[in-house]
Amino acid sequence: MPIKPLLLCKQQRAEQSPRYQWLPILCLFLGLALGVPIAWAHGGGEIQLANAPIGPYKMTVWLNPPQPQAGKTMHITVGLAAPPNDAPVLDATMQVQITRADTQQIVVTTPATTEQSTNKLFYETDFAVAEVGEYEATILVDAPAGGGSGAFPITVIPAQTTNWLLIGLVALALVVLGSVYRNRSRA
Amino acid sequence: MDPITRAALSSWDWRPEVIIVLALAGTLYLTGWRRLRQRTFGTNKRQQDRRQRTSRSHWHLAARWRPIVYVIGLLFIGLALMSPIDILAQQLFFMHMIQHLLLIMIAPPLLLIANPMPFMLWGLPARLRHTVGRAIGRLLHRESGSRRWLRSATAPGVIWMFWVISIIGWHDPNAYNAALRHEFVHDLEHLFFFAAGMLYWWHVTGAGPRIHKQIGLIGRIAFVLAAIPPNMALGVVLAFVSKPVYSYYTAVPRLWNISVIDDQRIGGVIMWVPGSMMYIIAALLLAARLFGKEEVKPALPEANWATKENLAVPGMKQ
Repeated sequence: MPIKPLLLCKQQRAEQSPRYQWLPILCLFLGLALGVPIAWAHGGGEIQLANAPIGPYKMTVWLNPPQPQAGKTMHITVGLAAPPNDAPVLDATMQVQITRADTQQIVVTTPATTEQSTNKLFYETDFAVAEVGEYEATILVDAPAGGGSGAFPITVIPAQTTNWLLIGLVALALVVLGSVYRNRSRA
Repeated sequence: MDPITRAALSSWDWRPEVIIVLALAGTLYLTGWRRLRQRTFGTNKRQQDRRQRTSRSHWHLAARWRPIVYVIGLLFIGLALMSPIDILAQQLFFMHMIQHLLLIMIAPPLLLIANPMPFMLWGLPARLRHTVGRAIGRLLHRESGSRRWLRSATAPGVIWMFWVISIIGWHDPNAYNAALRHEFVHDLEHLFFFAAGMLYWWHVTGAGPRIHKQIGLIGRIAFVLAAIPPNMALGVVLAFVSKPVYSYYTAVPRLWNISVIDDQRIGGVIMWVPGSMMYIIAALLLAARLFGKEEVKPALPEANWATKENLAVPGMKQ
């Protein structure tokens, strides 16, 4: 019963042209495109160190995004597993140090904690590096049964200047405004 | 409670994009349901109750159970995408299988039984409703090419294939590991599963928009049962394989003393048994409706069958 008033009578249907049939597809595409940066922002990332030995423990490190941009936030997530059954270690102290590969100058020192991580079984830290270049990330671990460190290289690329989110929103607004204007002028 | 379990249970990911979509869908549905209920039964609550009691069927459009079922469906999506189930899926294969069950087999039928399309349209402001209604009308009217295209693209056979390819394809080790490494791929995987689930259950529940010729109850039972073999085969393979299929899990800390192989076996069994069970339950419910319909068929008038010829012993000459 309620669907009927929504639909058009046969004569009205015949008068309608299929001009805006692409509109839902465009909206879907834009919706997906706008969802990308949001999806990237929570956890995940590329494994940089897998089961690296740190004293008696095994350490796995993720970097997200895999190619960090200058001045933009990057996330380092660390999982620490204890023998014999690789159970997570939650009472370790961790520091992440970012060093310039050419000058060995430390540019960032930040603690990684379980509180900062969405997954409370992992340690995480979020930070930004201001300049483009080659760096080395060192994870310093101090845990009850021992400690140590693991390192991996990071390449920081120039920041992307195109704001696809803004472009998408403007395009969507233009499409909506255009269709409203055409409907009104036709009426 | 041990610290690992406490840490695991406190791992919630309040994703704004998921919350916004769920809140928007829920608000639209509930607003539309209230408006349609007022149109059907009037604005007075007592009047509504009386009219509903005297209504012949519990399956009428603005029934009370519909928003409850719809909201439960939305809550299951929220649970799958934001609760520790989602977070622990990064460490435990069987948690990932539970997440997929929720997105493919639990949330879609609940959402579709509630027949969301008319309610969501009626949840929109009047002018927007008319604009969207016209757009849908154009897209789906009988003579349009888009309707023909949609009909063939969403035919039951095509949807079955899409469903099988989604399930099998995303469990390929490369695709699966990529989904765990890249959050965007992981979200894409979930979108595929949810879309496959929604399209599959759309045919089973017969929710709007109805652009296909309605499949009979026997056809629907067959369609539901056709989902079991691929699901079961994948579950059996994962339950019995003796090596870790997904390398990602070998690099992460293990929880609750569950080894990678045991985790994989539990995940395979979840896919095999509860996964198949959902389809069997759906088939049984459809069968119950089929037999229920047989029972309520009116008896033929006595004059049609109580004739001398019909009551005579066959072969006996009068």
